[in-house]
Amino acid sequence: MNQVIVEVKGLAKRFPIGGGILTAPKLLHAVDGVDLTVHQGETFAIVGESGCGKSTLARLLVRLLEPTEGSIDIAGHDMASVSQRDLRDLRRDVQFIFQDPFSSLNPRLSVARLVGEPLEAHRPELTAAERRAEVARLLSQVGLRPEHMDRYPHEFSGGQRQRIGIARALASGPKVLIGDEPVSALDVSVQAQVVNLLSDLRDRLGLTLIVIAHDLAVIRQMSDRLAVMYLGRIVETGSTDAIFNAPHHPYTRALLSAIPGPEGGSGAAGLEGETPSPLAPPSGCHFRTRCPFVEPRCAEVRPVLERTQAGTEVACIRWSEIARADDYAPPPAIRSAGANERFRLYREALEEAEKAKETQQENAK
Amino acid sequence: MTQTVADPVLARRPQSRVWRKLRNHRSATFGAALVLVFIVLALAAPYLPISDPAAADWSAIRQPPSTAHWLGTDELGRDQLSRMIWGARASLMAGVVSVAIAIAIGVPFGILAGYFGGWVDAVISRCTEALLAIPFLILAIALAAFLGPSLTNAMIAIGIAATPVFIRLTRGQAISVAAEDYVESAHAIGLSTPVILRRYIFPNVLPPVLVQATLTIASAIIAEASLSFLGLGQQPPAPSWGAMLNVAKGFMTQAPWMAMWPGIAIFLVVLGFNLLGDGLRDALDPREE
Repeated sequence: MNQVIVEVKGLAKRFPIGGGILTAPKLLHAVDGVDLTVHQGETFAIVGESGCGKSTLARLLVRLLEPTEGSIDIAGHDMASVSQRDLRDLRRDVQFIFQDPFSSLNPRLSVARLVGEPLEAHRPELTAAERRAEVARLLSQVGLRPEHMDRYPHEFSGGQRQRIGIARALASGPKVLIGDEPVSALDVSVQAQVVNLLSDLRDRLGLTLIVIAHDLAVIRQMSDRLAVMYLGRIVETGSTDAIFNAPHHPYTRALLSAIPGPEGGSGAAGLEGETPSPLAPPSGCHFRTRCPFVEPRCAEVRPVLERTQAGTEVACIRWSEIARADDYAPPPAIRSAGANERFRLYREALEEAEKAKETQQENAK
Repeated sequence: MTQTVADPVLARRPQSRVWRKLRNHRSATFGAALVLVFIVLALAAPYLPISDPAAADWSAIRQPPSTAHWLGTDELGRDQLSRMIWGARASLMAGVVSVAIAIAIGVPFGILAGYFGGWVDAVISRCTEALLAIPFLILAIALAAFLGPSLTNAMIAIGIAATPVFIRLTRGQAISVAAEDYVESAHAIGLSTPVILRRYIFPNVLPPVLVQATLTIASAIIAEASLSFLGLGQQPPAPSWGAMLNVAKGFMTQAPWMAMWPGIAIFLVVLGFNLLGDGLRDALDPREE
């Protein structure tokens, strides 16, 4: 296995909510003691339902938010404790892709400025002409034409804007790219293109991708390993294939069985109830209030990640009992019409990209 | 890789879209022309064949417009046309300079308060509120009295009195802009705070400030009039539109033209600045094409 590039230990973020001069604020436990290890060159996905803290986790990793506790080691630098001044330099190595391509680009800057800014900050030795040439190169790298340089964000479609966002993130030559739901705001057909673009860039530039997502189809398509989050904690982590084939944590099982089957309805193991409030999370295991396998001990012990035979890690005190009493069937291989349509689009986009590459090579000859 | 890029694209200098858009903006060019006419008249006053604006003629008091006095005469028999042209200097200066002072102080403080929040915001906002609690004109009068009577001091006083509004407006706008995703993306890129303030916050707080500025020019011209009336602004007998208007209000029934000309002039100048400001706002916004 490749060397470790991102190592997170005991990361926590608590937001104070309300509170006056005399009353103490309530604490919202957005991220609650997360450990993560990401290897060089892989795509690591963080998955969970909305409100589980995955976007907060992504922002903590690039320190757009200040962590309350814990350490973040990225490419040998401790992101959690460096000063703001050093942090600006470290940002060269770690870049962020935003969810919404419509609000994440300054409407008053041209594409040349938007993509050129990181170059200004991290490679001040470039002259204006060199910078323009570099922007042109970055744009063609993400599938945009250099002629687009003097246009403004509002003149582009969502997919194109996301490509601008990716070019902007790539400009400083990062080692790690963190995407907060990078495709969820896009049309399905465009999603496939952007997913392929990211995978392609990862291979070509030797990037490490950390992708936040809630769309299991996207995750299965692009990630090597994944972590499942529930209410601020990681409940299961391991290789994507192993987890999709044999999920151990009851929450992961429920999540995967919620993938629509051929008849359109979701699996039988749907969850009851709502996610508890992160202002007052349950004691012990956070998932116990909705878990079908709950027992009194779950309220007392906070489960830690334990290694399974499949090589995955699971945070559940009963995982071995549950696995023995196996009643879990992996999601059916037959996909729904909608899923088939999506995978067809992914395939087509892939083939198109291949073809484009070939013609490019021919032209080069 | 770079060889494949078309050279003309790389060579192209980002041309000034703002200037081109402003020129093509019809109401903005009209507004600019209007403002320009007054500025040219004001600057050319010493060279125009008009009579001395301070020369009283006791035989021609409050004359209606005639061939001898195109715009009539005032209560001391002074030529209204001459006083209008000379007065344009004081009034335009009072309007533009005081608003420029207000923007120059108000926008930076507003951005600091809105962007940094916390105690910076608390200090700036409390001071702003203290100033806002005093009526605009009272504050201007107090400041002008403190600084001493002259047109320059009147402009400074009006500028400072108009500042709190700009601080408040900019602060609110800066708070909303600072929460935008693109500002977060600027942090993620690793841009320094001064660059973020200059390139991300400032251009995006500007549009409402421009509109407010064009409106404040009007109040500043009137405020200068009020200060002149109290002897704190333009010193008599030197004319200003506001001062003329103030005197004229005592003769509304006998000599309405005395009030009419300065009124029309103020109206046109304000209209001109308004149209220009709107055009500038549109031209500065790349989304408007």
